[in-house]
Order: sequence, then C-alpha cells, then structure tokens
Amino acid sequence: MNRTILPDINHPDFAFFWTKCRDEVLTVPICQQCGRKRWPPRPICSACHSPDYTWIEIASRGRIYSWTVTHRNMVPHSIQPTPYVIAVVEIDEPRDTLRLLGGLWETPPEIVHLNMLVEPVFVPVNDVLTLPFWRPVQRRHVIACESPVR
Amino acid sequence: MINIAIVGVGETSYSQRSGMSPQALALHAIQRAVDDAGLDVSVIDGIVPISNSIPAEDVISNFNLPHVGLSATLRIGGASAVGSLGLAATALQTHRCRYVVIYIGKNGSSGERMVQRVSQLPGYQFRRQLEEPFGWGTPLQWYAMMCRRHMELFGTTKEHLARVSLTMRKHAQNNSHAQMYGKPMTREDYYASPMISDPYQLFDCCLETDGGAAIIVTSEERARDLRKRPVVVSGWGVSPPQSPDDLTNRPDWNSIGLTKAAPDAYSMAGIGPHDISALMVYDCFTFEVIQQLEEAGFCGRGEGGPFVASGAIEMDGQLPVNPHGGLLSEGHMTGLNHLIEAVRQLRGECTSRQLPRLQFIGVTGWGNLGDGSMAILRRDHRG
Ligand SMILES: [Zn+2]
Repeated sequence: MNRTILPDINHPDFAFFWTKCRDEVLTVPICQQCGRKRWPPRPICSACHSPDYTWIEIASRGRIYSWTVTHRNMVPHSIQPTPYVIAVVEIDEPRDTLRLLGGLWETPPEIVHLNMLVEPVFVPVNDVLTLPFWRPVQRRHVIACESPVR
Repeated sequence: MINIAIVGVGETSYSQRSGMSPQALALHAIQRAVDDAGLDVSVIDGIVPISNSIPAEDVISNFNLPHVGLSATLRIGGASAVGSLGLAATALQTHRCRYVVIYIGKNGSSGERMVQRVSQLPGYQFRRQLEEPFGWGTPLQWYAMMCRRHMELFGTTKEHLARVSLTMRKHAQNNSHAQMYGKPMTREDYYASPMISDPYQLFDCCLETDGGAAIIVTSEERARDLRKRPVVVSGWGVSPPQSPDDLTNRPDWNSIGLTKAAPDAYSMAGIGPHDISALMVYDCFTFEVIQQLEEAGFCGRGEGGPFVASGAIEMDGQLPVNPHGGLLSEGHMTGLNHLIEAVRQLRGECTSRQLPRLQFIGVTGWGNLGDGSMAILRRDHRG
C-alpha cells in the first residue's frame, strides 16, 4: 500500500508554487505593500497585514538549518526509501528569512552537516507534479565557476 | 482574587490495551477523583476535557449533572492539562463554577494513534501541502529536527538523551502504577532500541497509553473543608511559541512557548526557579526535557545536557524530575499524570518515592509545535 501523501496542486494558496516547480523554479509570495517575501504561503503579510501579493523567484541555493534521518516509515511515507534525510533549508536571501522543508535526494546521511550548502533537484512524480528535493552543491560546479580554465 | 486548589485526583490503570472505551476510562477516573476529594459528583459544575478526550456532554449525561456553568477545551495538546488550570481559575474566580473537573480518557495505544491526530493541529495545511509529501509528518520527526539543531549549536549529545531516558525508567521502578515498573533499562538497552528518526530511538519516545486521569479544582477556601490536604495553584502561565502554526520558519528555534509561560508563572507565584523543589516536565521525548529545563530557567540555554548528565534530575539531585517516571516510563496521559504526581508528592502520599522537604513543585506542559504551559503548586499554608 502506497502511503505517500502528495500535495493538492489545486490548493489556492499553493498552486502557483507547484506550477513553477514543474518549470524547475522555486517561488514564494512577495508582499506588494512592504516588499517582504514570506514562507509558508499565507493569505496576508504578517509584517504589514496587506492582502496583496504576487510570486517571485528565490535563490536556488540554501544551507541546512537542521535535519533528521528517518529510519522507520511512519505515516506519511516519503517517495524515498528509508533511511531518508529530511532537512530544513534556509534559502540564501539577503533580507527575509525563508526556510523550506524538503528531502535530501540520494544524499548519504553521514555527510550531512549544519550549514551545508545545498541546491534544489526537481523530481517529477507524475505528469502534473514535480517535488523539489535538495542535494549538496555539486563540487564540480563550484570549481567550474571559480576556475573556468580548468 | 481567590486562590484555587486541587482537591481530588484520580486515575485508572495505564496500559497498552485497556479493553475499555475512552468513555469508561474517563468516567472511572472522574469518579475516583471525586471520591479522593470526599465530594459527591453532583457538585461538579465546570467541565474541562483535555484535548482529544471524550466531550463534556458525555460526562454530563453519564453523571446526570444538574447544573454546568462552563465547559471548554484548550486546543494546545500536551500543554492543555496545565493550561486548563488557568481556565478553571477563570471559571472559579468569576463564580461561574464551584468545582471544576479536568480529565482525559483515551486509548492512545490500542485506539487512535498520534499520527492520526496531526490533522487536528494548527497549520495543518502547511503540513499537508509542504511537509508530509517529503515524509515529515509526525511530532517525533519535528522534535527530532529541533533536537538535532540543539546538538549542533550547543554540543548536546546522545549520551545526554540517554541519561534522561534512563533516569525516567529508573524512577518508574519506584512506582507500581507505571507501565515500565519492574522493567529496568540499561544503557545498552537504550542504545540497542530501534532508530526511528535520528537522533530519536524508540526509548527516546514516550509511551502511547490507554487510560484515564482526572483532577478536581475549587477555591482554596472551599478546599479547606474537604477530605485531603489542599494543593494550591500559586501561579500559572500559558503561551504559544513564535509562529505557533509553523516550526519551519520560526525565527528562533531555541525559543518555545515555555520561554514566556514560565516567567508568567513565576511572577504570579512571586518566586523564581531556585525556589522550586521538584519539577514535573512534559517528557514527550528526551530532548524536550533538556530544552524545557533551559527555558524554564533551571540552567542556561545550551546547558541542559550537562545539567542532566550531572545527575541533577535524579531523586537525590538538586531538582528531582518526574519521580513517577513521566510520559517516558509511567504513561502518556497528556500531562495530567504530572499534575497528579505533583499533588500526591505535596500531600506526602508517595511512600517509596516520596521526596522530602517539598515547598513548591513546578509542572510544565508542551503541545503541538511548542505551545507551552507551567504551573507552580504548593501546600496550603494552613493545611
Ligand atoms: Zn507586507
């Protein structure tokens, strides 16, 4: 029996987020009055209480704020087999604290550490849903950026 | 303002399989609490079911109560038992009620399990849409994540968690009512228990329990005429944490509801942490004991692990914690069993686990995503 719980991609507060995940882009609501980005999506801005917002792309880079390694399947299950790593990822954003909860994709638990740099990996689950997982920032990418002649 | 007092306590046996309905468990516990107080059940006119317990209407119907001035439930999970003292105080101080019962009856082990109750918690849309799809959906996993961050920031260790678990199990050996009575545990047993969600193993977790528990609360003045020595509620506090519907984006994970509830309770009682003789901590998981010791002011933030490792929470330590064995080793009665233990300790009824020279006992509650509560109990001065 499959006990994975998938999001409702038509939920009015979250639909835009899931649509953009299919394009491999992470977005959050941004307040049209005070300009604060917020997560999780809320109908009003907690800072200025404005109901007006739009969606904005955020940095596709974050750091591990905390994590747990789940060894025994509980309800709900992950689409990953046990043991799997779940982490809170703090997005590299200059002003607003934005943390996303996600799974670490194909990441050995023993290499995970506080503040580890991670990037999203978009995993299609079916035709309409893509889940954003995370993985350590690939070393070769970093080297490629730092020393293009390599 | 009138003081309020706990005048009766009652509980059923705690087990993994009661073979009774939640209604029967709650009603039996209430009858025992009323008997303990030397009252007739018909005087009950305030009804406070804890969290997911059977509704007040069941109690009114079964006991055919003639007049009920107030029935209400706080929806703050494990913070509700202690928090309900505040609710009872309000009802008593406005003279809306004279005798309030706070109770629970549940088949937490053989019936509905914790995972099925998550959908009733605050911010469930965030859990359902953003967290459960990644397999993060139980309190055990949320708190495991909080524990991990504390370990990384402050150097709290598995050995500290083990010490909490071992201490609660040791205490339960003096309590024949505890589910873990007669089942001592070694350090090897602890480390050999199955890993559930790192850093939490099976023996870091409380016991899902079938049972019932109840307490009767009234004014201190009325309490003096009753059968047992009254236990006065000197102070109480209830507080949510920051962003109580979402842990993930809570600005500071070190701060919990108790961080605010404890100072409120101390200030109302006119005392500080150093005046507390013993503490009943809501020990849903091992780390939560460490964090609550810090946030209630018994040691500095980050010092909870070493505090526990020093033996401070043992029966002969500077702050004995949960002589009954707590949720970890007596049973999970959503914290009502902590209030009952505090009352019996202050009355001097605890025989082999009786603590000496008690003045004030603190009792904490923890629910949902960090809702906190604290009560400070003492003996009646004239009792
Ligand atoms: Zn705003």
